[in-house]
Amino acid sequence: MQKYIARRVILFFPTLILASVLIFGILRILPGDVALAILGQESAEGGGGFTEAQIHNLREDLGLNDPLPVQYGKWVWSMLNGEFGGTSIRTNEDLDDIIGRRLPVTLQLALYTIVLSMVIAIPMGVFSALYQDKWPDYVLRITAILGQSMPNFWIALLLLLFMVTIVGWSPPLGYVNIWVDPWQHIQIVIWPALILAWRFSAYVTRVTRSGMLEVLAQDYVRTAKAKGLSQRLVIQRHSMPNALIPVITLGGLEVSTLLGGTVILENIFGIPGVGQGLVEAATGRDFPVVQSLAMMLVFFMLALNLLIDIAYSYVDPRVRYS
Amino acid sequence: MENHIVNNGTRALKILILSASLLVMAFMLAACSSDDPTAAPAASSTGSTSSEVVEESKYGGIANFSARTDPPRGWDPMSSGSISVLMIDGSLFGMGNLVRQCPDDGTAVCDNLSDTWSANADSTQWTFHIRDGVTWHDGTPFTAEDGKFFIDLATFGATTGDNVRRPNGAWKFVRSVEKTTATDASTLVVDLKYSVPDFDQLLSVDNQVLAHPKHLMQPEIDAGNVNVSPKDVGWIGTGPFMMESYTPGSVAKVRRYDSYYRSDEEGNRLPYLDGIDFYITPDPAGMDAAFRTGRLDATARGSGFQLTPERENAIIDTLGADKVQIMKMAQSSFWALAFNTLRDTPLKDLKVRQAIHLWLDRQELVEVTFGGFGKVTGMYDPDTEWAVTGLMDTPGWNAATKAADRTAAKALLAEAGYADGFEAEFMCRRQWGFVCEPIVGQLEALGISVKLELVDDATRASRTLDAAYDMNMAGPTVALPAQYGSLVASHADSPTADPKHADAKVDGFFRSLESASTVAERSAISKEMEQYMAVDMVYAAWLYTEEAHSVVRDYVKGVQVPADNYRRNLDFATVWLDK
Repeated sequence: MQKYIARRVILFFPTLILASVLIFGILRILPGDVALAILGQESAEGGGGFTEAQIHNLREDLGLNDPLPVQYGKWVWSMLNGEFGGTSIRTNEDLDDIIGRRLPVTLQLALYTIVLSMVIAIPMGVFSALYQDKWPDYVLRITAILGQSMPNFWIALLLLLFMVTIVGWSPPLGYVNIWVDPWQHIQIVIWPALILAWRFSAYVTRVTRSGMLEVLAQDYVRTAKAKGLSQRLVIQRHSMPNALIPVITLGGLEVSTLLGGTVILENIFGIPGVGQGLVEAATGRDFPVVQSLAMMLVFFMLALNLLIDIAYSYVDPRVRYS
Repeated sequence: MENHIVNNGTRALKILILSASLLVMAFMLAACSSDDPTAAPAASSTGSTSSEVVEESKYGGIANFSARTDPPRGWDPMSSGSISVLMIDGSLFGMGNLVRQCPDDGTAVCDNLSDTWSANADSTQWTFHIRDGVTWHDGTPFTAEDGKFFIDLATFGATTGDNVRRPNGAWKFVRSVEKTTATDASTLVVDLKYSVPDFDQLLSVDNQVLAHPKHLMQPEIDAGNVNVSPKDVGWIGTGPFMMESYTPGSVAKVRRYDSYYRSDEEGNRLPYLDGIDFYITPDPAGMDAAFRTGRLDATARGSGFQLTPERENAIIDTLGADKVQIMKMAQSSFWALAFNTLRDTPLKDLKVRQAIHLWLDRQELVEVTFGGFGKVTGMYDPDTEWAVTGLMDTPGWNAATKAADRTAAKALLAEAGYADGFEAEFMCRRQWGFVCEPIVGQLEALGISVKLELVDDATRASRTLDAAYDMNMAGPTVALPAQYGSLVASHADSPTADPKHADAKVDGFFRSLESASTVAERSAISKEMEQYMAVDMVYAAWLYTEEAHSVVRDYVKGVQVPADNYRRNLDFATVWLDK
């Protein structure tokens, strides 16, 4: 086991390096010169013309006149030394400040979503399996399919419209941290968390249901029932631990979708997280911010997958890595 | 056993329903929370003196306004003229600098941090007298040294060791400045390289905001932080409000500066409001929802956040027409279909360009593109002194003669030898696809087979520098004729210009504008230039300007709506709440 964990940890770093090369490379092979893109955007939006000297100066300021390996090296070094890529072109803010401010907000939102999803989805999945092909099962499955199939941004806009036109209420403005004003925080964050949780829990519900159906048909469950164990014990102790193993894998994979979903929802609900930062940076051609925030998301995804792989071996004693 | 399982399942269902009900109740409680956003703010005791009793009711209250994003570039107007900067900067630093555009007339120059100013006989030296009693928010007096620091920083930049702050390339007044001298605390002398009779007007442009306290910034520059920004030094300004707190991505709270130097016409000290909370609302749908439910008193200005007819109607339906005030402001972006006459294409032929000019139905384009929120224009707003009088009644622009114009257009095209049409590339900025597509439709109807190329900003900039297109969509923002210089001059003189030509006469207009000594002279030159560029030579088919609509609640009084340019009058010193 220790050997496996060590190998996974060692593999983590080449994957991270590959991801960093891809992120860095993609931003460089996008059509057009970054300096021209920035000046061109300012010019198009009313900033007047620009000169060749301005292009050269901006390229110099952004370090774009350096060879690509040098640019990459500088970026990686700044990620390692805690500067996280230097400074935002758009806001002049240090990237470590931006990440330090935005990342906890997104992780908080993701945490709420995961907790909400698990609280809702696992009982729903179990319940759906227990009532297989009866009306509660159909209702829950339809709910799950709707959650999977409707785009988050569309649900968000409908929800806002519903709140405004029917309830005459909208979430408060001005995001605050939970420790500053918990009530205002909840009123702002609960809506995107619920929308994300709907989608997330849809997957979890369906996987839990399938897992439960499979497990409930196993001999050992029949044996447990035959022993006269209560149904609660049969489900909690004998069925759920096995049925939920795939949920761990799926949950980990779905976190990436979840983080993607925050990009739009944070913007709609005015939550200053990584997603909102990415949108702002991408529209403002703020490539240091885009590449560093993207790298942070990749890092968290890889770290999460690593943890899941490790956790899997503990949760499922049948799994042995060699 | 099966029944046992089902019974337990029923219990689980009850628990589930109970949990869901509790969750719903929690949300309903959230929805009915006591933080009534429309609650009237407590009256303020600040700012009233015995002579202001009549106006006392205007004082107090916190207004809730929307800003579309956090101000970029360190909140420095010297680095960005975006509405995203000005929306909040205006309240902290005021508009303009030593002088400003008059709130009710953007073409006139008003006093500001300087109360009087004059030029020598040949307009090569300008002397500004600094207003007495102006202080920065930290109590430091504003002096001529601050005015000198501002102009020098914009004109010459700053250098400390290897660190270089580059001069401002966008502000027109900096090109002529040779040196500045603060002869005493109240007098600033600006020497120019050549005669600039409208230097005060070029200086007055509202987005050239003085947000740079020398006593705070100079030490930073000396320490190597040459790109020091207003944010770095705590947003210390001379405007009507001072920064109380800023939470990035959330809210900027500005509060009344009791020592603000301006008063209203009756002599009452400004501002009236106790403060403004600028909420960052990065999504227009979220902003609209907040306005419709009373969490905002005004919506944001800026592209993407201005109201569309549908959104405006939805707001009116929710709140009632008598509960809102729609602010209609010109964008001052004069859209044009720019032609490249340097390439050997049919567009080199004046008759072809004239045909397109006559053919395009601008009124229909305004309707299709902006839902009617726009105005047909030439190079300028036809209601300003820069525009040719009666131009909108001439062929091409006049809706009443469109049928005849179109017949003439067909004839001109045939005369040029293109009766069966021709092919042309039309480069269009990707974000402007909605503007370009209706134009393509009209050009196709004329018989031109248009290859629409939606491109990113870098490609557009690169191809503009290389003159590599047949037609290009242009949307220049222009407040003064001189600002057209880099946008329409010859390719040799300005490679970033959208219409491509090698016409020295056009460059000559800008030289004449620089040396014109009166507004009347500049007006005459701009009219001549418009006639030449848009009618005689048709280097571009000028189309329209978008009308920016934003909305404030009925109880928000004293908003100075800048009809000519939505980037102006953002200090909100005269705003008060009647509730």
